[in-house]
Amino acid sequence: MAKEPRANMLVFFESCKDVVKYVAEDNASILGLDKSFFDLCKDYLAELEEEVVIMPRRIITIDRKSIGIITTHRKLDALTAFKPLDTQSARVLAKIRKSTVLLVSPNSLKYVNEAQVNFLKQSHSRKFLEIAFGEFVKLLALNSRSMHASKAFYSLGNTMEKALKLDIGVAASGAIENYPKCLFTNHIDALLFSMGFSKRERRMILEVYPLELLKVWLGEE
Amino acid sequence: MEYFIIAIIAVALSATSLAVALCTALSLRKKVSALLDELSMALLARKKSKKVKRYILLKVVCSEEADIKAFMMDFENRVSKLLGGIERMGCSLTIASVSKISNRMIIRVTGDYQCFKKVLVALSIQHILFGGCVAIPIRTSGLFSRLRKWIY
Repeated sequence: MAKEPRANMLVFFESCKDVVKYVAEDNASILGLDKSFFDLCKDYLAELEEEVVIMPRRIITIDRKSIGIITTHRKLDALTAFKPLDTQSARVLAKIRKSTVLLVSPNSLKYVNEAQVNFLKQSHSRKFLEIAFGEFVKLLALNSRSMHASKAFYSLGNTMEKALKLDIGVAASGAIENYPKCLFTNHIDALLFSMGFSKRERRMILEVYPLELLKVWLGEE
Repeated sequence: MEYFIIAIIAVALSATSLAVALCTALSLRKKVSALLDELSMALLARKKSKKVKRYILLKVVCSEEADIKAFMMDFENRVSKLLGGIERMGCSLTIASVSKISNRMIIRVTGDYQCFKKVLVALSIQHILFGGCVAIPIRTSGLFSRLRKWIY
């Protein structure tokens, strides 16, 4: 079967060989790797025979104390996603005049909600949401007591729906632990389907917006 | 005078019979409407729980130390554990076909449409909880024959 231009924005690996296995098994043609791991396996990845775009990724957690990083830390050697842990930093991220990726996880869902999507729409530059599906699935699988899974998925569904309605870019990542304990693109597709997203919306999340995000990032670089 | 008394009795009797008929009709109406409500509820419930059959084609990816045969034997148990006992009342899952050459299998899901969605999620996250092999859903269809050509 031909590969679809699907994207898995972040997957964790233990060894460079695992990347080859993952690429062979999954449909993803855009794959995000942690920056440090990417540097470690740079030579190995160059020899990959599959047609896959592999990009270095970095996740930065932002709160009131470290809010300055948003403006100072703009290294373009990796596609950075910011994870806001309070409302103030979420609002600052929305106001930045550069394209920015905001990570949506159970921790940041309270701050990256429907209201935040409205702020992202009002921004002068293109903003993207990256949904860390791996962390949400952890709530289901490991029966976390910190947050109810149903509440988290309900809130996530509303946020994503609002973002799609207002044409805010939405991409998905399946990182949980090291490969193979991760979500493949087909798993993410199944999750989106069970959340009630249509075929068109799922294509937008898995194919169209990640490509646009990649284009915007390469344009900045 | 006699005729007058007879007329009064006749009027009283007809009034009584009318009242009895009215009361009976009212109570009957209530009972009939309650029965109709019950019937419509039952019909709706029946409609809601209409069973559908869906087939899912899966690719099984195992790490070197994991045993694929043991995984396929245990697959139904894994998904059933994730679905839970109450969910399994209206949702059944069986392995329809297995290809050991291509490590693919077709599973049959019988239940309502929500059940199919839940099974898809359960088989997508089973490897996170239990470890071992990963089951990747490739295609779904309502007909077994449509998926059979992909199992090679």
